[in-house]
Amino acid sequence: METNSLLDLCRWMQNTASGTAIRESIWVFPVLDAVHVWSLGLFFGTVAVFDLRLLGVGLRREPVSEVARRLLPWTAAGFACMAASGGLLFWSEPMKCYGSTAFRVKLAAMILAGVNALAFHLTTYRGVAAWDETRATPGTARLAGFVSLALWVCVVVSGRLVGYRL
Amino acid sequence: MVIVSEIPLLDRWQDAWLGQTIRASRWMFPALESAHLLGLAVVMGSVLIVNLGFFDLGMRRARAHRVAEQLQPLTLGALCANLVSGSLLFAGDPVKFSGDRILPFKLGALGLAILFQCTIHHRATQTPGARAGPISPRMAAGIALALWIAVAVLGRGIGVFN
Repeated sequence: METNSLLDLCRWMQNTASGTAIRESIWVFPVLDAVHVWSLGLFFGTVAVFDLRLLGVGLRREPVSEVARRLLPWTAAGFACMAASGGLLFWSEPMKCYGSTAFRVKLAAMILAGVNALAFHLTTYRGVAAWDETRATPGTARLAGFVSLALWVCVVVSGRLVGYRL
Repeated sequence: MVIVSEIPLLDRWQDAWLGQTIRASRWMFPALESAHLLGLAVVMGSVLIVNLGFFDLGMRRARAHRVAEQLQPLTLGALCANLVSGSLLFAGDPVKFSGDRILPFKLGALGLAILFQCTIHHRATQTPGARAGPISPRMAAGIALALWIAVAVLGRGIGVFN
């Protein structure tokens, strides 16, 4: 039998009373699944609107810093709901996730999206005052917006594929 | 429950080329579901941003009309994409979906939401100042939020309560 510490951790999680209870419940699992999908609207929707602003599309008459300051708290709230519901879903089905290529792709894409967002906020966004009101955002801002959109689309698609046991 | 007289029509639908193509492919259903999920996230996200703005949540209330105007193409574009992906999902499994107890309610709420969005909501939220419609922008925003949340809640129920 295959064994390593990550697999052992997943096996232990799978057999906890709480994980088993969620997995076998009639209501808790579908409700967590529904919360995960509903919070996607708040999270992905606000991310997409901000990324599109960086690409000069959508809210292009609003200053970039205004869109960021006003929307990113909602993005964070959406992410918190996604992480909480997703964490509990993972807790209840760790073995399915461990064996899923789609789940590994999803986690990798999330990490890359996080690195991209962090890099953008620590570098390009520092100089936002110079291009706050313009539609013609700098190339690095456009690149960050495009990469973010592509990676989050990848996260959503691979997340859907986990359900198909791919 | 499926009405008996509908069954021959559904059988023909089930046999139709489009449905067969969708069912035959291993990737069509997951791809359509992913597209539907992305579309619904963009519709819900933009609807939340536009309408919460009228309550000074998220974007500023003073700019809510402008925000509504700028995000309208995004909402409508994602909505059109979802009408296509949703119809294809239905075509891929008409017998299952036509027997679904929740789907008619979702489609009803969706019809109301689209109608409201394109008429009263459009007039009330995109013309600043003037008394453009029968109701205030805030009331239109509140009703739109309620309708779209109903669509999302009912949509999640499809395939669950059968």
